[in-house]
Amino acid sequence: MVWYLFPVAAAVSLVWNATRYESTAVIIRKAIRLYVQTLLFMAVILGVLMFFSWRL
Amino acid sequence: MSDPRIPLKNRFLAAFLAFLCPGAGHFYQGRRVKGAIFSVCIIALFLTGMVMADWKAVQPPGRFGFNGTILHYDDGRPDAPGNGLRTLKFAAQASMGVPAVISIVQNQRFRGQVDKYELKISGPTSYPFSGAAQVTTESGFREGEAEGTLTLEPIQGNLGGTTIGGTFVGTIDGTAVEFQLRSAKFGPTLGADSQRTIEVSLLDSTESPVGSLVGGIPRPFGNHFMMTMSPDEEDALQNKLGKRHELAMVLTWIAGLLNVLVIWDAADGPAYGYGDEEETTETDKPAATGGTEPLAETSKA
Repeated sequence: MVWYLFPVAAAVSLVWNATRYESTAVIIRKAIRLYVQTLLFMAVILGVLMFFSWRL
Repeated sequence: MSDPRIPLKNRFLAAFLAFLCPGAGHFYQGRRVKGAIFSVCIIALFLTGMVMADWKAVQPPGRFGFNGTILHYDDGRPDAPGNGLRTLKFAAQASMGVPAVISIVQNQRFRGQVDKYELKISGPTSYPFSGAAQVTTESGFREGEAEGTLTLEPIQGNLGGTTIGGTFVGTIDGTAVEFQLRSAKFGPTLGADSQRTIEVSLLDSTESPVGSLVGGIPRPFGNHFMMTMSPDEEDALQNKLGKRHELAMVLTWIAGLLNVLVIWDAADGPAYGYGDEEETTETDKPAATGGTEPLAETSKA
């Protein structure tokens, strides 16, 4: 189920930035940045959870 | 934010179209790229959730009958309270106009059902059947899966009234059989499952009861598509899907909430402007100070 994260994050990033800006180039650029930020954030959260659940 | 380069046309019509279908308002305004982004992303999210939830993800609040009675499980327990939570869930999906309106219409039909356990037919009507059978014949007791065709029609009941009877032609555990039917009992006319439950007695050639069939016959599409679930149907769906049901609901909520932003964008333009304002401003600054450095991107987000 975790694989749903990738398309959902992509869709949310695109729609969010498309409602902020009109220029297609700006939308794409900022959407890619938000997508990467979202995945990094989720990866950090995953790392923290794995750290605290180590050998549980 | 209004920008003369962004053609909003009739903004109220655009917002209404965006409410009905994500991206439709933007296509109407000629903002095709954004229309494509919105329609593809949001409709894909929403449909994924709907398919995962067997097309039962949108459930409007209000499972109470028009006379105020609370819905009950089939075993008589009252439905658990929780209409407030149902309202919140539906609120997140409500900006998806077409499915929201369909589900509200279906909810109104569901709550207003009259004679919901009757099968309204005037003559012999055939239905594909699948379910289970218990039958005792000369060769002994048999129990197993039953598939075949039910031909149902109104007949005279034992006590003088009208009941539903007919014939069953099909197989029980792979063996071809044919039985007369009597005293059919049905599940509700309207329900979220595509199959309407039926329980009917089997008769032998002397019209003596020899067993029963329990299973389902197809509901017409309009009688189950996006229909409000009964408490039993809701429990069954959650048991069947488990955590995938939660994920499906979340996907539809995300789609619905994103469409709020889209409706706003159709009515009032993008929140931060066209997108090149920062670059223009930054370009002007170095030019004014004699600089020609490329722009550093700034973000208001």
